[in-house]
Amino acid sequence: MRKALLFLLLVNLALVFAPVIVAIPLIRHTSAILAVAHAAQRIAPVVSVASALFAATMLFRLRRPSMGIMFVLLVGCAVMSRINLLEWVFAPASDAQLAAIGEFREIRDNDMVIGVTLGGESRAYPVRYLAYHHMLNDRLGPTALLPTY
Amino acid sequence: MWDRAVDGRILRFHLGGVNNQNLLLVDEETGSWWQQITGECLFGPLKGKRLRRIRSDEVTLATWRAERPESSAVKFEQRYLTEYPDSDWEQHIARLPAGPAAGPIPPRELVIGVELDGVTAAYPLAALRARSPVNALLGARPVLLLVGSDGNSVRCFIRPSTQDFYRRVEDGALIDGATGSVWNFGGRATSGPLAGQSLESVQTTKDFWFNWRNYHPASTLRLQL
Repeated sequence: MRKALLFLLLVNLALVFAPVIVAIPLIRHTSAILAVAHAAQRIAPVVSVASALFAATMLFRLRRPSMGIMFVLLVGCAVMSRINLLEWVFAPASDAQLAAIGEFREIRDNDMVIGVTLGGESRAYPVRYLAYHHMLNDRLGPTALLPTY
Repeated sequence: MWDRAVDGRILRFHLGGVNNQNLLLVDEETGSWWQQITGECLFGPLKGKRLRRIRSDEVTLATWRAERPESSAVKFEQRYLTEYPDSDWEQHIARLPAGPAAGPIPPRELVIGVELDGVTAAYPLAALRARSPVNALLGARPVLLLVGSDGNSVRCFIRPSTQDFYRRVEDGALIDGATGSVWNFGGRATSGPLAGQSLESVQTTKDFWFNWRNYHPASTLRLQL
């Protein structure tokens, strides 16, 4: 039983960390690597919870300390599979705080902006802002926008 | 700039990963992965869908403010002030390693990519700066590429005919050979017979040559302007 749980733990660790290889800039990302990483990311939350429940059942029935450790580690996998690790490095933007362009002094005149005009409404996104957050889930009038950089 | 609506449903996007040095986006609703530069869904339930591109401009703050005085601007978030890169951040990025070299210019040279009626081309930014205004052909379509007086804002417009040539006159204004009308950097005729008319604009993308080439393999590189 201990071996079965160890195997489950290794499977879950692989699932949790498989998507991380897609965050390494300098490797050659083939379609197959991306497909495996995406599949791992999709199933990891379910597989890890099922594994943790299984470990909890074993702990309850056999009451061995090693089962307790496995349970805690598998709960850790379940938590990790729900966290976007990339957003620890590049925090996601909160909803946009706006200023009138005439009063906007946070960047220099020669700094670049991404500008958009829709239905007579215009908005500027500083490139330095997007270079960190990489995107903003925004709205301009009736349109849901995604400026990215 | 993408429209977040896909088949009537609005998606929320997050950072998903990196695919050969271009970002992958992941949507909250389905967990699908999307390529940032093409807007194409690569994996997941929405595989094969494409985000609709929204025309956007990459210009200096000063240019945007002068052209759109009613515009809003998105402010920095106070808690991330130390995270935002400095004004000269692009020069630091330019020193990072790049993908494989793919042609006669360095992989990390900045190009302006344009796409019109299925024809894709890249123009080195340095060459455009030196030669602007550039009267060019994209396939059969006559276009005009402009670099603003700030040296960084770039725009592309469709020329009404292959016989229309635009040249620079004083203070950054342009004059067209056919009618002698005077045009500004926004593609609008400010005086002359065509005063008040606007040229149709074409989306431009500022990118590193290797990245543009990677995701637009059919793109030509225009060195002779």
